[in-house]
Amino acid sequence: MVKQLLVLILMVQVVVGPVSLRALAQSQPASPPEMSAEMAEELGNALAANLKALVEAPGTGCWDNNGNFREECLSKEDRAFYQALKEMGDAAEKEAQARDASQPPVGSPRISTPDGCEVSSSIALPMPIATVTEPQASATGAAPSLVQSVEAIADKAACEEHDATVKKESCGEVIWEEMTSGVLGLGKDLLAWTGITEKDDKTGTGCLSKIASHLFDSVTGLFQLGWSAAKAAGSWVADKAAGFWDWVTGAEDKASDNAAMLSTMTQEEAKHAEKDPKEASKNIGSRAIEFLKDFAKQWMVEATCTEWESIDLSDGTKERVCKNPPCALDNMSCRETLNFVCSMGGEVLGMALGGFVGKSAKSGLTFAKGLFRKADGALKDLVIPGSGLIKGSGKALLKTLRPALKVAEGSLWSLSHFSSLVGLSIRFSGKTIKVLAATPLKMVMWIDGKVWSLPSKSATFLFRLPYRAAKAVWGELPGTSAVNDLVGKAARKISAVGSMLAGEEAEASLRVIEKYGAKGQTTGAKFRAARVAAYREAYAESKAYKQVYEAAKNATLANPAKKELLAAEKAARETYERSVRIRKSVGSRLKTGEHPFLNKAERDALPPANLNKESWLNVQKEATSYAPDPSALGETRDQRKYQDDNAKKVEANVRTEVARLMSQGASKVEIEQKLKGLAHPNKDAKPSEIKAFQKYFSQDARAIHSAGLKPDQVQRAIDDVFVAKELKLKPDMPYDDWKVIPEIKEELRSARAGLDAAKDGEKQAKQIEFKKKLEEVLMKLYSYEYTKEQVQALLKSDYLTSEIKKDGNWIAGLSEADVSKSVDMKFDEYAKDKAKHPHPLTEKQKEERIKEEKRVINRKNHEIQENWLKKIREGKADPKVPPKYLEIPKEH
Amino acid sequence: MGLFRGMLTLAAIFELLCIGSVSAQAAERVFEINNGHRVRIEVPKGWTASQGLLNIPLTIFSPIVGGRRASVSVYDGATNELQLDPKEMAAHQDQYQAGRQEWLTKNFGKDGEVLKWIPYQGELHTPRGEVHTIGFQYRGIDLRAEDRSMYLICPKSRAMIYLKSFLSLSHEKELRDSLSKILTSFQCEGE
Repeated sequence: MVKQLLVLILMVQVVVGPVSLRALAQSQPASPPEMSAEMAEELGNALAANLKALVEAPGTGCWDNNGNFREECLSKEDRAFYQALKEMGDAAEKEAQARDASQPPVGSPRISTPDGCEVSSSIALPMPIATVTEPQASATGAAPSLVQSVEAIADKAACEEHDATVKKESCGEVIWEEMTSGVLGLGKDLLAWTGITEKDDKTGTGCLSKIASHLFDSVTGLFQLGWSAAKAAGSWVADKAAGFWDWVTGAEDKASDNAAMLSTMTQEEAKHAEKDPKEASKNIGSRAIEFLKDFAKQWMVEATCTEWESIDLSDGTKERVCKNPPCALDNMSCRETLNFVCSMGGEVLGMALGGFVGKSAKSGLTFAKGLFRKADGALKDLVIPGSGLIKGSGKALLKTLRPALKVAEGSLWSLSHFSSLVGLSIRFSGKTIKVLAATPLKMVMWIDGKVWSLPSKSATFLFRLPYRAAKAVWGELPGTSAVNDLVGKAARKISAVGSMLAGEEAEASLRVIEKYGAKGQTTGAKFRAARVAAYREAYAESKAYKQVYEAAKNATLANPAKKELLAAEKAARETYERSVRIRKSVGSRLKTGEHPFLNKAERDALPPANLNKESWLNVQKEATSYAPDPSALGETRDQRKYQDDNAKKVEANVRTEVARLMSQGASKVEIEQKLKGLAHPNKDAKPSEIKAFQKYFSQDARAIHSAGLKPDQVQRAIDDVFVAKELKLKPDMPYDDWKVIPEIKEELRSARAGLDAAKDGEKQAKQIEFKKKLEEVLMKLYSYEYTKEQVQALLKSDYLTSEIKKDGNWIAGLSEADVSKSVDMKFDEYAKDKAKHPHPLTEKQKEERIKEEKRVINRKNHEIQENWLKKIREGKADPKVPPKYLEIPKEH
Repeated sequence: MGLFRGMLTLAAIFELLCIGSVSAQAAERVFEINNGHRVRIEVPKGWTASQGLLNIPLTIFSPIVGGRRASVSVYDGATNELQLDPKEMAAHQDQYQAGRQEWLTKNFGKDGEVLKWIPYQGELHTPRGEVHTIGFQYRGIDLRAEDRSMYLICPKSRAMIYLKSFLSLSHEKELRDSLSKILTSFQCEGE
């Protein structure tokens, strides 16, 4: 049950990959229904072998033994990529020019194949159709025509291969029947959800029921899950209202989902609800699946259509219709549709519930149209000639930009970059997924006998299938650590590819702007928007993983479960780090003057002297910025708050870590190196030590950067702790006490700025203001329980020199002796009348402070105890005489 | 003739009473939900009670008004000995709000918007036990709705029952009274 619960938790957040699930399940005999340990092991071994092949594919030696991406490898890849990119850019441009001369820019005439599929008349087909039965990977050759050819073949092949006798079934009904006939694993939970008992159940393979149940679950949610998970979180202390609302969040979510769904109940469903709730549940479920099916089909059209037309409807409105929809879509079976649905990703499916409950009267088709336009509009503008870009910017601009766009469109823009993916194949129990061609925008893939041309965004989801599949069966696989390790690597690799996409879009943006100046800004912005979309997706994914992670942490789960979820969390977070590294690498490249995008003529036209320095600086700034800018990401206020809060927490952790390192005798320089990622191991260190050192150091620095903490924030945190040390303050000071030091520094700096800027007539008033501020600062320090000796030391330290002194003397007409005397007097005065100078902390802060102090004392007491026990073992202490423990403060 | 006219008037008044407020004709019913808990609740006329719909222990839903139904779903909750302090609950209701905001964003993206927060209210000593309520009004895709939660802790058994109500704001006038009646009538049976 725990395993099932875990898998369910995962599945609610992450949509399951159906292809692999189907493949996995099809490897199981129909009977017996339960997977035996032997079968599971066999399956696990097969999975491991295939995934091993995946991660060890040529060109993928960029992963170290710990599954981390090697940075030096990245730059090597970059070099190759840039070289190839340049060559392909030249080639693509030549082709574009040739094409411009020979045919109209948009709306290429289409011809129909005998079976009704359309292929572009301008595309040559260098490979015979038969080739599709034996997919051949090719990372070289005449790139643009290759991809276009393969796409054309894909369209045609899909048409030829489609089963003309596909049953025009009601998808919802079919899925429901399949679901309720499954008895394996999750099927049981689904049955519980529907109210159908096992007695009602028919034995089946359970394959599709798994797919559908995950899919369905992602739409409707299992209330039991939310509530059970909440109940399982026994760590919630009943008298802490603070945790109550968090505790019930899962339950609230599911109940709100259900309530919204019930609001759409039809008359028929309502009729059944009282006497046959099972039937009513079935109807609602079927309706949701039908909605999703329509939604998925339209989503595919939106994602793959390359030519649109506007048609007039009878009601006077206009409708946008795809002129050349992928023909396979109309003939897709229910299951094929669901396969694609599952590859779409949790974010989109999450939105589907909103569409279902909100637009129950309309179809998933309408909803998908709107959603796609919102989500991918920016990207689509780039890839579809004749769409928004032309309308918005005019044909003249298009003409100017076309050469750049041709490259950006990615005819084969990053084929070389994706060379490790092209030719890659994953096999599951006889099923093959093979990449025939890949660009940032589209991937042409061979999947189980059919050629698919998919947007890369979706295609990368497909590549995560092994990972998801392993997760789905993971609970049933004995000894799967090797498998998990491998699938983890595969997932990380894919996430790195996703990050590269983001990097490439950024590059395209820069290129357009560099080349076309102001005119290119709009287009550049669109490229950036695409990158932003990629980031947003990564953010959402990271957040989804985080929710899973949190749920797992709170739930009473077996350790391996937690481990797996932690790995998922880590993988998601690494997406950010990698994209940051890509950007950084791009920036370095540009900074050094190597301009990989431009051909010779372009380079000649842009001599370094003419480069816009500001623009280069911006590139540099952006490339070295570690934290994604929330405003650029277009995130909501809550998301920003989440990031800010997170950064604050990390900053607090940095201070704690500094204090810890300091207590171990580390110097300030060493700590700075470590936390800012600048450290290098001692040359005399053993290889194992160097390895451990590098891993430890880079992990810390990366974690800090990826949490959004800027280097100057890290430096400030380090400085604060060292100031505290210089002042001989207690080493384990609560965070609020540390925080007040930079705060007062800022206050004094601001007051001094006012004084420095004052005109002659204002100086006296500003001096008084400064003195008042100084007095406020003293009171504040007192209220944070600093002693007068500590404050004296602080005022004499270098830390505040720039705020209070000039040429070694106090500003505002103050003298060292006056201030010193004043501090003594003020502190004596405050001490006499404490009531007038209450501690400024809120009750909650006080509580946290006490908690932190307790934690520190507990830790120290633990150390004291450890030392005592150690001494007893060494015969240096008397076991009958306990050590002197520190007292835990009761109340402040 | 006069008698006939009088009968007609009476009939009209009766009809008005029935249509004007469905809650006027509510029937009190007792249901057993999961874990053996029994609850007493008034089911307004025209509303339907269903046990097991979407596997929810008890759902009471309205007829369709303006294309949507209002509903109250009843779930058996934790059996912990809960001690909820209304002051603390109120002080931390921002956590509830953060959770709902997240739900809204997840399901409706940018179309999701909070229209109004219904503040937390808690009473420890009522004849039906402890009552804690909170909620929010939101806009989704083609949807404006009120989502309320009520956590009721039965006076003797201390079992917690969780109620979720849903009301479309587009037609709240017709259904709000009935919905409120359900929520206010709800109590643990036999305590």
